[in-house]
Amino acid sequence: MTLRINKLSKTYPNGVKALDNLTLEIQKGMFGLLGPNGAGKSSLMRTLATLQNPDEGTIYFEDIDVLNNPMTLRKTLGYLPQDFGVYPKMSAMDLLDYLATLKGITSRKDRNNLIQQVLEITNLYGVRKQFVDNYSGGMKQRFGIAQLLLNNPKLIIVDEPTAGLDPAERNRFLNVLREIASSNIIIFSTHIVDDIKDLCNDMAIMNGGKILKKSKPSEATKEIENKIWIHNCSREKLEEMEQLHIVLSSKYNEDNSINIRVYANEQPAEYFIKATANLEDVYFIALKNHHQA
Amino acid sequence: MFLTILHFELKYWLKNWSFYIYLSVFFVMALLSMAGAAGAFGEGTASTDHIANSPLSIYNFTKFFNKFLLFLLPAIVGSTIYKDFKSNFNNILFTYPFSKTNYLFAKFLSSFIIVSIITIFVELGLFLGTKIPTANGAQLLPFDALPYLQTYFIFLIPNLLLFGTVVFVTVLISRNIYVGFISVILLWLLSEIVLRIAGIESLTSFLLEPFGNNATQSITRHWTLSEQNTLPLVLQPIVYYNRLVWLFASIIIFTIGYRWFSFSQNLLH
Ligand SMILES: Nc1ncnc2c1ncn2[C@@H]1O[C@H](COP(=O)(O)OP(=O)(O)OP(=O)(O)O)[C@@H](O)[C@H]1O
Ligand SMILES: [Mg+2]
Repeated sequence: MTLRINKLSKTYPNGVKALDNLTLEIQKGMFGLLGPNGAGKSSLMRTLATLQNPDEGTIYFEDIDVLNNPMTLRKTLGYLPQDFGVYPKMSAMDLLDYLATLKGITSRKDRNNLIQQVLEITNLYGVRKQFVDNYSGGMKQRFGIAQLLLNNPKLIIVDEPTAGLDPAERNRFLNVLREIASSNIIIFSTHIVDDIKDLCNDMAIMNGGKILKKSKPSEATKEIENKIWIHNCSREKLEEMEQLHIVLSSKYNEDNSINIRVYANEQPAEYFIKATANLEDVYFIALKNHHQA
Repeated sequence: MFLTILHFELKYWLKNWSFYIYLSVFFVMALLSMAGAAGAFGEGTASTDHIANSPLSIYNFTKFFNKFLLFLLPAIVGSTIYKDFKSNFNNILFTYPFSKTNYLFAKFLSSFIIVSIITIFVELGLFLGTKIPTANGAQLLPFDALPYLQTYFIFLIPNLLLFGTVVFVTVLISRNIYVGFISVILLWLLSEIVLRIAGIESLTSFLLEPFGNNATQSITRHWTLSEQNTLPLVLQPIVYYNRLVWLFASIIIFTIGYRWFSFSQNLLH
């Protein structure tokens, strides 16, 4: 099972180039798409979900030519948009019943079984009779997962689902995703590095409509092993450090000093201490390289 | 899929109290108008030499209510399509495996059925207005279904279809319900302008006045009072040509909206 995205480009009417000759291949499993605001994640996902057309490029899912046969893809697609609402004053059960019919499940008995199943997976069974437009943010996102599961999709696209969730809800949500990952491709976008670390077996870092890096999270950190250095310096020194070294991140301590993380093949100076590389370093290196290029 | 959406939208309206309010208001207004004209509320309320339920009188009543019915269109036809955008549900719905044809036709037809039902209650109100016990029998003709059917199928429904497609298409394109209201007013103004420029006795205005009234009244305008009280509605061929022109216009307007719309278009917010 493979999703092949080839040379995808999209420029919006206002001149913003949201996708820039983007090529990407995604295999079965949980795929994380990591990128800052405005990277083009949603543009890519909306295009994959057949909600908008690119200017150029092709998309193939297995043997479906997605851009020319959107309807074929939709039958096997589950999509959770970054930003969605539902009809007011309708319970989760009633909405799911309608949505399941729209996904082509005509038998009432099948529908009822399926709805019960997706409500249980998403922990919404207890609140199935409440209006979805009164749900909390986390419940609403889980409802979003419940609806996308209704056609037993092979390609699942979830766009920044953890944004705005509190830590408990975020965990609950990630657990739901883990549970549904089996024999399908799940593409998950986020700007939170931890989401990827906790969840994905493959990932890509995206910015400016391009894929900056694609690799498995574990391999990505392995590549920069022994190349991350930390140093605690004063605030005044920060600017100097940034000129001398590739500073990936800086965090203030309580005493107003700063911990900086630096990327370098060799120890940059004797006061630098070697640190364990993490995924966040990978992310910042990719973004840094992109900005310099 | 067509039937699924149609059924869902019809159920939505049939469970919505506003449907029953619209329906009751039109029913009661029509009933009271007819009853009043038939002297049910005493001599003072009606001119006694007019037959209240003559074909021409029924036509005049429906002509009057037609204008008010237009303002239901944004609320019903417009909002049936608008609610998908307003709620942001379209971001989910438009990735579902149903076709644009099924979606648009089901949305339009369901809302138009609702409008047609409310319109039936105008005719029903007019009819029952003649049955008020206090009505003056001398101002009423025996019941005849034909004028009710003619006004419903030849005037009200085609007119609502025309204005309904205009509202549907403008809301579909603009994704804004107020543009739907404005389009009703603009088309109405346009009809007034056509009348002014072409003159009420011209062939152009017979054909191009969108309500079909001018073509009809070119005959009835010259009737004497006794003719007004007794004659059936004389619908000359020009009336049917007028209806055909605007039916065709409705189809073209719907087609424009249909061709323009796509599930995968740039959503400029
Ligand atoms: N409909 C649109 N019309 C015009 N420009 C758009 C549109 N949608 C997105 N953009 C622009 O395209 C760029 C990429 O946007 P996109 O929403 O794909 O980014 P993103 O990675 O999803 O960001 P975020 O993390 O904020 O959701 C941004 O500069 C954005 O302003
Ligand atoms: Mg986004």
